[in-house]
Amino acid sequence: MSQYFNKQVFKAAWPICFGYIPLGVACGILGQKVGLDAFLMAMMSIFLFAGSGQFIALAMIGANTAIIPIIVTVGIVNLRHMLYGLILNQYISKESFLYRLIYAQEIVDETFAVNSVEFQKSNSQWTPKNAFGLNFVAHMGWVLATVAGVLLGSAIYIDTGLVSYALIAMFIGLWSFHFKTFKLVAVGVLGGILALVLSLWLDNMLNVVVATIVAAIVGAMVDNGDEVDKK
Amino acid sequence: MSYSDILLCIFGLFCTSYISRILPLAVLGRRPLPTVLALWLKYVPTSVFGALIFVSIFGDASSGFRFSWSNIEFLAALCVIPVAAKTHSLAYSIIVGLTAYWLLQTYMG
Repeated sequence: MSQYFNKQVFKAAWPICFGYIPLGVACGILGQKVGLDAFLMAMMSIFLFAGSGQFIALAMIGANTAIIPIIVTVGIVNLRHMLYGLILNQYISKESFLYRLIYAQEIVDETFAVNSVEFQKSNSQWTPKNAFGLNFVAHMGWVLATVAGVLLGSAIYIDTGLVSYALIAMFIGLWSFHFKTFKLVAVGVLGGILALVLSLWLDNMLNVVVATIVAAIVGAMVDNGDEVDKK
Repeated sequence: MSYSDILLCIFGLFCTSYISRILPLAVLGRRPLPTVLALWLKYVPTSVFGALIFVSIFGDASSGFRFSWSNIEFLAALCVIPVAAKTHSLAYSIIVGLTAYWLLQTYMG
C-alpha cells in the first residue's frame, strides 16, 4: 500500500487537489444549477473526469442541447488526452492489463503533467505505483470537490473569474516544468500563438490540439539533439 | 433534460473520452517509440500547455480576443510566470496567481 500512497505521492498530489477544490466546487454549483444531484455529479466526475470537458457538458445540458452533440463536442475537447497517452505509455507499458485499463481513465491535464515530469527526472524514484496513487488522490479530490459544489449549491458565492484563475495558474506551473531549454519555451509560445490564430477556423479546443501537433513538429525539426534534457 | 437522459449522457461522455485515453496505450502496447515520434513527443507538453494558457488568457476568435493592458488574466500571468520558472512549484503558482488576480480585480476592476 505504501508503494501507492506515501509522502512522495502526497507531496506531488496536493497542489493538484488544491487547485481542484475551487474549480470542482464551481463545477458542482454549475451542475446543481442545470439539474444534477450529488449522485449524478459523482458519476460524471468518476466517468468523465475532465475539468473543461465537464464545464462544457454541463453548460450544454443547461442549454437543453441533444445528447449526441454534447458527446461529440466533449469528445473533441478531450482529444488532447490522446497525446498524453502516447507519452505516458512508455512508462507504464510493462504494467498489467488491469493497471493500464484503469490508468487510461485517470489521464487528464494535471495528472499527465505531474506524472510525466516525475517519470522523466533523471535518477527518478517515481514508480508506476506512485503514479497510480497520485492519479487516485487527484481523481478523488475532483469527485469530492464537485459533489461538495452540488451540496453547497447556491448557498455560497463563488467568484468564477477568480476560481478559473486557479486553473490558469496551475497550467502556468505545469508549463514551467518544461522551461529547460530555450527551444522548449519558444515552441510553447509558438503553440500558444498558433492556438489563437487557429481559433479563427477551429473551436472546441480543436485549435489547441492542432496548434500542439504543429508546434511540436516545428520543435522536432529544430531539435538537433544538442540540448539534451539535463535536470 | 430528465434524470435518465443525464445518466445516458454521462455514459456516452465516458465512452468517447475513454476511447481517446485508451487508444494510444492499446496501439503502442509494449513497442518502443520510434525515434521520430519520441522527438516530436518531447515538444508536445510545452506546446499543449502554451496553447491552453494563451487561449485561457487571451480568449478565442468566437468569444472575442482580449488583447489589452486591462486584461487581468494576462497581468496576473506576468506575475505567475517568473515565480513558476524560478520555483517549478504548482502550489506557489496557484497562490501567486490567485493573489495577483484578486489584487488586480480589487484595484483595477
